[in-house]
Amino acid sequence: MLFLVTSFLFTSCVEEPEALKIQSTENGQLMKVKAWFEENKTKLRLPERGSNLRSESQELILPFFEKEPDWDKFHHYYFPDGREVYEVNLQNKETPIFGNLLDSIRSIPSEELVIQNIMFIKNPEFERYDPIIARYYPKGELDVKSFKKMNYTKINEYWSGKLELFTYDEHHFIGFEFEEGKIINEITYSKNNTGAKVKDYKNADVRCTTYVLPVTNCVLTSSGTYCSSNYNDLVNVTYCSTGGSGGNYIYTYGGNDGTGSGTYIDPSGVTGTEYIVPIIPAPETFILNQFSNPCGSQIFKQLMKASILKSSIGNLNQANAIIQLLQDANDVEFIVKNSDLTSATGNTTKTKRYINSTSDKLEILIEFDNDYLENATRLSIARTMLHETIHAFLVYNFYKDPTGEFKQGLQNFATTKGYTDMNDVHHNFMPQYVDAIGYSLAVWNQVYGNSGNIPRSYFDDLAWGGLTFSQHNSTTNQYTWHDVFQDLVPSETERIRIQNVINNEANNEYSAKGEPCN
Amino acid sequence: MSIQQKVNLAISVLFVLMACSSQKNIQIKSDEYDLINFLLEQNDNYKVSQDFLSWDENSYSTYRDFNPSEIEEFDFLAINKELDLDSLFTSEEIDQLKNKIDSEKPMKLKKNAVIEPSKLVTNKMDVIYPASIMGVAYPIIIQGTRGKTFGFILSSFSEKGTYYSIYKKKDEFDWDIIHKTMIAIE
Repeated sequence: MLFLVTSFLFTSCVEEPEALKIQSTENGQLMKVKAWFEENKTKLRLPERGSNLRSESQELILPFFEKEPDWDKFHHYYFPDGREVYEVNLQNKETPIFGNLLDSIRSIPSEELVIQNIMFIKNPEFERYDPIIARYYPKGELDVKSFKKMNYTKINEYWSGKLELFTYDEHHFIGFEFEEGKIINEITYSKNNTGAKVKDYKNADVRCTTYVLPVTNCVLTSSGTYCSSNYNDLVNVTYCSTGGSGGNYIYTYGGNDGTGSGTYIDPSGVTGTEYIVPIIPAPETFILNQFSNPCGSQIFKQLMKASILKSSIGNLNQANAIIQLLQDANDVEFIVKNSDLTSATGNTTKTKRYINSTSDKLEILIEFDNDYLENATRLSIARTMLHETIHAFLVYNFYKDPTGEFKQGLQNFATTKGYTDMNDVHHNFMPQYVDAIGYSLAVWNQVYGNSGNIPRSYFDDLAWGGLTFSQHNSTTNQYTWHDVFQDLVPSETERIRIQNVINNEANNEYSAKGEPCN
Repeated sequence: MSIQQKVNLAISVLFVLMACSSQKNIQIKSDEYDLINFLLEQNDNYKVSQDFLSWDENSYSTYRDFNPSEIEEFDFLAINKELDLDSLFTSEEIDQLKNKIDSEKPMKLKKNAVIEPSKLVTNKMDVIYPASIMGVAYPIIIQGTRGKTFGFILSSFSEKGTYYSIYKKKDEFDWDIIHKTMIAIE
C-alpha cells in the first residue's frame, strides 16, 4: 500500500509529455504555413503612420522582436465562419509580462507564466496566413497553464486572466479579461498625455523605463463594439532591457471594470497592403463543468476552489489536489455533467474515458444521475464528487503512463488480492483516500455546507460511500462488503452504522445532517 | 389440378413460408433473450431494469467502437482485450454487424421473455439506495457463416460499473465469453 501511495505522489509530480500527435494532413498544411511565413515574415509590418508609442503615438505598441514559432507545438481549428487557423507556440525568450504577475507569482519562470502564440489565420481569398499574436496572462498561480491546455477557441471555466492580442509588429488592438472562463471586460489602450509614472523594478540586471497609458473599456453589443471616450485606468508599460540578448519587456496596469460579450472584432485602421490584420471572432470558452443542475454545478465549483481550501487543509487535502491535477491535465478533457443514467439501474454516477465523436477529443467524463441530484443531500453529492474524481484520477493515470510504476503497482495489487474486475481494484485501493475525502468534506461543509456543527467523524463515515459494498440483497438486507472495508472496519455493527450514515445522506432521510440540494 | 387445388396449394405454401419466417424471427429473438437470461442467471443477486441501456449513449455507435483491438480501453484486467473482429469475422459477418449496429432497437425488456419477471424493475422511483440492480443493452446477435452465433452486450451494475462483452453461443443456456471490459466505473 505504501508503495502505491508513493507511486501516486511520484506520478502526481511527473511533467506532462510534450510530444504532440501530429496528423499527417495537418502537418502537411502546417508546412505550407511555415513556408509562407518564412517567405513573408519581413513584410509583416503595418504601414508607418508617422508615430507610435515609441514616437508619441496614441496607440500601444510594444517593442518589436522577430517571432520564432515552435512548429512542433500547434493547435489546429476553424473560426465559426469557416476560416482555418493554426495557432503555433512561440519559443522566443522575449515575452512582455504583466508587472503585477511578476510581483504575485514569483515562483514560476516567466517563460512558463505566459503562453505566447502566433495565430495564422488563412485568408479565404488568397494563399496567405495573416498572423495575430495572442498572449495569455494568468491571473494567479492556479491559472498558469501549459500550451496544450488552451487556445483561442478553448478557454475553460477554470481559467482567469487576460488574453491580449497584438499585430505581428506588436500593435495592441484588443484585450479580454476572463474570470473563470467568462469574458468580463474588453480593453483597448491608448497613451496617457498626463505624464509618466515610474514603476520601480529593482533588479540589478534590468534597466527599465515606464510609460503610463490609459485603458479604455469597450462593450461589445450585437451592433458593434463601443468604447468609452474617457479612460478608466492607467497602464504602466515598462520596457526593460537586460544584459542578455533580446531583453525583457514588462507592462503593467491597474484594475478596470465593465462587461462584454462575444462578437466579431474589427481592428479597423490597421490594414495594409503587405500585412492584412484579419477580422477575428471573440475567443471561445470550453465549458468543462456542464452541469445543468444548478445545485450540482455549485457544489462542483466549490470543490474546485482548491486554492481556498488548500490553505486551511494543507497536505491532507489530497482529494482537492487530485481535482487540481485533473483540471490541469493537458491531454484529456475532464468533464462533469448530469444526465439520466439509463432508467432504473440504480446508478448514481459513472466515470468513463472515451473519445468524444463530436470533438474527436479524449475525455474523462463523470456523469451524475438527475434523480440522485434531486434526492440526495448536498453533503452526499459533495462526497460522491470527490469519490468519482478519484476514479477519474486513476483512469487518467492509466492513460498517461500505461507502462509506469503507478499502473504496475495497481496491477500487482490486483494480482496479489486475486482481483479480476476493475471495480474490485478501484474500490479496494481507494480506501487510502478516505481520510482525505473526510477532511475535504469537513472543510467544504465549514465553508459552504451550512449544515451546522457536525463532528469530523461523521465526514469520515460518509467518506466511505461507494467503498463499502459491491452488492446488497434487498430481501435479506445483507451486504457483500468490499475486502478492505471489512479489514479496516472489522465489526459488522460498525459497518452497518457507517452504511446507514451513507444511505441516510444519499436518500435525504430524516436523520441526515446535510441539506437537500434544492 | 383444379384451380381450387392450386389456390389451396398456394395458400399452404404461403403459410409454410410465413411459419418459417416467423420461426426464424423467434429464433433470432430468443438468441437475444437467451443471452440476457444467461446474464441474469450469472448475476442472481441483482434485479434487472426493464429499460434497455442505450448503445449510443455509451459511445457504441460504429463498427470501430465495437472492435476491441481498435479501442484503447482503461480496463487493464479486460478479457482478451486485443480481440480483433476483423480477424474473427468474415466480411459478410462484419456487414451483418454494421447493419445491426445501425438498426433500431427495442427500448424495454419483454416481461414474458425473461426467466424471472418478478425481478424486473419497471419504475425507477421504486429504486431506493442501496439496491443491487443491473441493466443490459438489447444484445446484438450475429449469425456466423460457419454456424457460430455471437452476441454483443452492455451490462451495468449498481455500485460497480458498465461492461462491454462479446459472447459465443454454446447452446441455448450457455455462452462462452470471448471479450469483456469495463467501460465505466461507478
